[in-house]
Amino acid sequence: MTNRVLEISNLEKSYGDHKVLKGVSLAMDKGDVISVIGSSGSGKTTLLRCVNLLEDFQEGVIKIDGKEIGYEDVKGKRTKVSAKQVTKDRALTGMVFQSFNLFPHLSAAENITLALKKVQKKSKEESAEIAQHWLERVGLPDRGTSFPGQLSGGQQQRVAIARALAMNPKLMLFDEVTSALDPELINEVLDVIKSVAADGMTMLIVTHEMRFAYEVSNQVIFMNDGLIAEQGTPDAIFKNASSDRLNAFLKNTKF
Amino acid sequence: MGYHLDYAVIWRSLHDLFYGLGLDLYMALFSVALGSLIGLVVAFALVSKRKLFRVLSGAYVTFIRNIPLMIIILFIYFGLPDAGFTFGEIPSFIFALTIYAGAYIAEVFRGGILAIHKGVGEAGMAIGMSNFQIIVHIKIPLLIRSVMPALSNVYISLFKDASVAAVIAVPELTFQTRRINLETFRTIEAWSSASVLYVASCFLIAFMLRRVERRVAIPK
Repeated sequence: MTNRVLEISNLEKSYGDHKVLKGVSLAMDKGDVISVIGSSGSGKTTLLRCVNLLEDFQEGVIKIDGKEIGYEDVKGKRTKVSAKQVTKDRALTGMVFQSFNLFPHLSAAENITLALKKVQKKSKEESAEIAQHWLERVGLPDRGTSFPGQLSGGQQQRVAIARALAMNPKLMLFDEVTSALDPELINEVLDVIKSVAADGMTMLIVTHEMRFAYEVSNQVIFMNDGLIAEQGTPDAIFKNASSDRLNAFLKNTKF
Repeated sequence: MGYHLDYAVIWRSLHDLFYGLGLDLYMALFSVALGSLIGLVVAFALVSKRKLFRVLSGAYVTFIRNIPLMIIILFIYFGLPDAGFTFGEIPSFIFALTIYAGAYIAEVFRGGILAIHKGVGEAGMAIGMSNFQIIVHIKIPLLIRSVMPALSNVYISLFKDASVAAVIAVPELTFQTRRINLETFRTIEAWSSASVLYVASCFLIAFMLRRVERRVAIPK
């Protein structure tokens, strides 16, 4: 139980009348890499955004390192925690987005150092050192002074990964991080993610790259209509898919 | 027949014209600086999640933007003393132009805020930055860059609006010109000289703002 990094129980989320998540439960131990696959609209991205508290949710509990995030029990009533606490809870996870979302007015290194300085209150020198370390880690040792507009999509996404990792999160969330990339740039990003996984980082990955999901994960989740329809090892999901729905989904995707 | 242009009288009053121009620049600079601060705060209030902020800021912009500057000035200069607040002409005018500027600049900034990609703010949230930190370190730097062209336009316009101070006898350029006109009857010379000074100043302001714009541009 001490190794349990993420525990989601019975998560429900709706936008108005439209229920997007209908009771999702999921547990991750330290070092787990879980890929989430499924057709668009199945709730994959919403699930990730809930874990990062970018979305409110109506029911269920999300715990990181055993502590509930986002909501608390106040006299038996489920209450949203303060904005300050949300900010703190959010820092437990690192998130990488489909559209990179680098800060365009800051250099690659400054993208990484900003929160180190402002959130973690580290010195300028230490922040710069950490930034350089992570830029090297994602294979961009000499691009620290480049601005996002001067980098390729793949490079931008690697900086975004470095930015998230530099904050030393307990759990990394990847939201379709290669979907906006040109095909020839996808692999450089996936390779970085694989190497981070090899270092033992706990990762929850929403992806359309089936081969990548197969290779990087120890568990794969197939989401359908707001629920986890299947969960198993990559072999069980990709090679021995049992349900018709999963088979239909896999038939329509490239492996 | 024929009107003989004689700029000699203008030359003799050149000092007064430049003094007036300096006063315009001084008042405009003050108002634009303060108005920009107000505009920034009001712009974020306009797009705030809190209804109270939206209503108050919306009311400010709606009222101030839809009242002629002349009326705001007369109201403040002649109205406030009746309410027990007495200011001189210049502070009154700076006050009036500031609240007027704030409303216009707020709308420019609001456009800049809306143009910021939503994901950029979310990325800030995801790495644990507070809303305030995101506004200060990400949104404001981005929005100022994106609104620079529109902002320059408003700034130049506000500089020219300083001429309205003539109605409460602030001895700025327009006021000086009218005085020279009345004293010398050199109407064409007086107003053409003032026009040249306004054009030259605006040109210079635009030039400097363009340099700032280039300087803060994001490298591509």
